[in-house]
Amino acid sequence: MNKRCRELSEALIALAEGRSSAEVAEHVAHCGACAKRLAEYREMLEVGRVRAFAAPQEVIARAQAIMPAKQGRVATFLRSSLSLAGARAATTIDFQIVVETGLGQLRLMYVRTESGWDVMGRLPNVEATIERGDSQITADESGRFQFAAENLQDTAFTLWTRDGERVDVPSAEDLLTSER
Amino acid sequence: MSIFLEGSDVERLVARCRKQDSEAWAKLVTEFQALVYSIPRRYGLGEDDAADVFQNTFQALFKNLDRIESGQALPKWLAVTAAREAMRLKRVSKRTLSTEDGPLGLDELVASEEASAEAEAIRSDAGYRLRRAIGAMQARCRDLLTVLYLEEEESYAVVGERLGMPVGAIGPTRARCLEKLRKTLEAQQFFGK
Repeated sequence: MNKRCRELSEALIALAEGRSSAEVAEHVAHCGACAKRLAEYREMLEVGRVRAFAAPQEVIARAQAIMPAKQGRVATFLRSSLSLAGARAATTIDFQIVVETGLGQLRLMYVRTESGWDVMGRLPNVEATIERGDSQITADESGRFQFAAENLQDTAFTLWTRDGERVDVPSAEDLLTSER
Repeated sequence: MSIFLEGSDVERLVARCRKQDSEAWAKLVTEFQALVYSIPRRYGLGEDDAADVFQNTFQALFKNLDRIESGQALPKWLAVTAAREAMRLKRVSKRTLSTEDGPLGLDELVASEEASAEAEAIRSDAGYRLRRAIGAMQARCRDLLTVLYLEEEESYAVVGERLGMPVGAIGPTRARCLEKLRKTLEAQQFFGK
């Protein structure tokens, strides 16, 4: 694209919008790059004219209900090496929590880092995937996994077994609160 | 304003839906609601019929989650399904195999509807991708392009007032934003499909 083409950027868009300019049309007729850009602008504007309608909320809700909410299990607290107050106050102390998942016991290690906490664990003897929000955490061959969290409230995650069983593991904050 | 999901996010949502994760399903329905609902409305169906098309389309998706090859293919799959369903409803409501369809036999009618569904799906998929690309832009460009090209036509004076932008800045800003959008779409192989 040469200097003239760059100068014509706005005029090309005007042409795409239907405002004719003999000078620009003449340039486009002899310039392959500008002819391509003009065609692409026209395609964008044409697609933009395809009208979109937002579905009413009750219509969306009815479709969302097609998949019933599956009752998953929630992992329960068994023991920890630290109290909630201790964990909150901890600046250098790492601690552990052991939970019962229904698939087996899961020992979780919480390690302080500069930006928050590293959470490490090893899956019970079961093939499962680990999800936090929309992201997926991959366990290694031995089932070990690790993720970083900003704070102890941000440490919840979900286990999904191959059979579609779901186990929610609450955050360290919630687990330690449930201990009391 | 809707912020669309990235293709990889859709992929993950589909994977979670296959595991019967109802939260992911709810997000998926929300993400594609306008794509699906717009199709029967553009075919001229009323709100009740459009709601039926919407429900039947997502029912079909629910039953076929394992057959969706990738998140990338999902918008077009939904659009084709919604278009076929919209035409079926339209045909039922018109009792299409009457004089209105003139000389078309059943085979020709089905072929014609299939071609129309395919064309509608391509249009809808392109519209979804364009809106997603605009939704992912920075606020200034996103808002300006939305008001200028995705909503009812307004004068520059009204646009300037709505967006708090001097009228003289609208033209050059729109040119810069459209060029950014063009480059983004070019990288996504949007053009000439």
